[in-house]
Amino acid sequence: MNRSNELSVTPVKRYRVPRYPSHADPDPTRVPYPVPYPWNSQAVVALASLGIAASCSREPSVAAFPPPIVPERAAAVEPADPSGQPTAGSPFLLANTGLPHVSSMFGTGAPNYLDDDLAREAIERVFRESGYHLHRRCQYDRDRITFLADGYDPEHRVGYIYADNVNLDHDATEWRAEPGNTEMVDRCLEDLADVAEYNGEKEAVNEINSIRQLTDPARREAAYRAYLAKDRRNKLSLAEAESLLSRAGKDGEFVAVISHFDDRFAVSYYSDEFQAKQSEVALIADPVKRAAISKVIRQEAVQEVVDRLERTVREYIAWARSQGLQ
Amino acid sequence: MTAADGTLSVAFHLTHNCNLRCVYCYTGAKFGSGMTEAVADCAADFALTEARQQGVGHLETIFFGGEPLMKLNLLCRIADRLQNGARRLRTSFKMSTNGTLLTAGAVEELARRRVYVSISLDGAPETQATQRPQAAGHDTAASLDEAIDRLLRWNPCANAHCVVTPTTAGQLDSSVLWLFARGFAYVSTALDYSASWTRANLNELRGAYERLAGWYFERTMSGDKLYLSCFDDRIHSRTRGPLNRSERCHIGHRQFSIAPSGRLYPCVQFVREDEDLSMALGDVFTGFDSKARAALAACSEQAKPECAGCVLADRCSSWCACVNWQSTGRVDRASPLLCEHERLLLPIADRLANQLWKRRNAVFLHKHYNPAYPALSFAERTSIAEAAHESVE
Repeated sequence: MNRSNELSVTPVKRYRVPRYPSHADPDPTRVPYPVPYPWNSQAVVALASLGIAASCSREPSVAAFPPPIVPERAAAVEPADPSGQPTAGSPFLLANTGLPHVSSMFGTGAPNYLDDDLAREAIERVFRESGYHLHRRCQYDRDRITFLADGYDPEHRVGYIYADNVNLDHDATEWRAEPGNTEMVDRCLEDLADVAEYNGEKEAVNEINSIRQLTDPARREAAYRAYLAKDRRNKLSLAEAESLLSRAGKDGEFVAVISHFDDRFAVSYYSDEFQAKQSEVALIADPVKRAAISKVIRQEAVQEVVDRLERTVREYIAWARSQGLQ
Repeated sequence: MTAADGTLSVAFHLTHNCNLRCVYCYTGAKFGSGMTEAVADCAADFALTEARQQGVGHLETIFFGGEPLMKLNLLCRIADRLQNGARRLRTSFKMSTNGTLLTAGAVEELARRRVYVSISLDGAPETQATQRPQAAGHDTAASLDEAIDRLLRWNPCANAHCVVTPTTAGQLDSSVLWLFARGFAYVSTALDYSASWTRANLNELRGAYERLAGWYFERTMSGDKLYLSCFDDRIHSRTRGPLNRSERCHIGHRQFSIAPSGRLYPCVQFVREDEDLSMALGDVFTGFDSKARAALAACSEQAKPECAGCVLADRCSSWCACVNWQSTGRVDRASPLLCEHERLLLPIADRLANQLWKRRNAVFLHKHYNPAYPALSFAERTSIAEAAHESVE
């Protein structure tokens, strides 16, 4: 029997949901495209002689896939007005941003958010076509709101920030730890390290890990808060995002906060519709043709989201013009 | 899951005796000549009858001890009797051994009966010498070395079982690395739940897990297909979902142990010297004590208030009565060590899986999401081993 008094049963109240798919998600060896079993080359030689490799492979075959289902079209995403006509309000509201972006405790896997560069290209294309000339990466500093805007036209006073893990302040994307809550501080540090690791920020990973290794909880918390404070000037906090969105147009200035975490602009690789298409593709016997068509339907899924983003930006500009944007 | 899909798991404790004196052994004193043939026959018949009464499709038999290879003839007798009496029931055999008596003759007998062998090894010879000394004080390294070669030649998918104690916590990574370097591809690790653990011990263990995670990542990225329970089981708890009640072991019902005397116990941890009858559930001659069985079930299955609101409850095995009993002396109280250990290890395992997922590593994807992976990797490993043997010969 364990006689230690040091250890205790402590229910975990918050836990960052892992990024890898759960049992409730579609099988990632099949969706969005089949991943062949990674046979060891020595085994292939040995098994091929027995004819086993072919029969065991997870490469799609007619029998391996169910017949395609014709799903109801996903109703979660309201299409933006294709004409870009003014609507009752701005399509970029805080409620749509998905901020603060905090992973749910248990979920069915993260949606595939649009590639940042692709999203920025689409947004800038619409602004350009609407007659605005955005300057890239402009320092915005007004009324105690400071951040680096992705694009800003000083003549017309219109611009945008595509808010993601990199340019959002920690309060908009991470858990928050109240002062003195060392357990939460440790979890936040772990979370920060995880995100930095995911983003390939080696220096940040090293810095966070060195903070995590501090044995004194008070010093650890102080170092954690110092880390958060660093670089904050150029990052958009949740409060700043809220202010920016609520004051849009009030003094003739419009800066849209377009969020990377806005579910409207997530690629629906996990939708029934996409899976049905994949199941149809899986029935194609020729592997070259199958790969090519699979690539096309993935590109179509991405393009559908890019189109939706462009429509929404047009709708924003139309709304802003109705509010006084020149 | 229907009953016919289910498994009844019965552990036969062939003897209390053992030729090793492991520092953490929970099976109690080593004595006696073990189970008699008469008891063994009765126990085998009892297991078959119980499986049929429960309506399960699969009877899993585990040979346990003491050291079960000290009673190899009896093991073969039981396996044959079960096989002959199974009729439509599917049977399978497993054995947990210290490996020192795994002679060529023993391997031949076990292979004939398709007994899956798991060998208890704590790592390199020096660790083995301190954690698992021989009763007579002899060095086991030489005999184990031969036994490992023999075992892996027979079954390249054999499992090595490594027990982690407070003393060895900080060197778990080097122990596991030694086992993989020695040729094992399947390594399971388990804590000594009966020991007195401190936070300092757990911090050392955390360091070892972190180092091990880095190594596991590199090996997986290079295409190696390894099983390491401390990470893989935790990743499975997300990719395969929580065990529902019908899938759990249900100690005393879907799983029980038979002592050398024929007495019935809920699980292997409870047999010990077969003297604490408070945990006995009857015997193979007169059957289960239904009151004792029902009381145990009611006690072990009830929700644990100390775990209320825990978001990791579905990924944790706080329902395991054996671990709870070993750790707290009660089947209905969650183990603090288990809780602290899961809180320490789950984030490491999840971070490791996140990194492999981010890179869409094919080994990771198939290992954790392809239900055919165990069969495919088994076929792959055996074919490689066969080819290697043929080229040597």
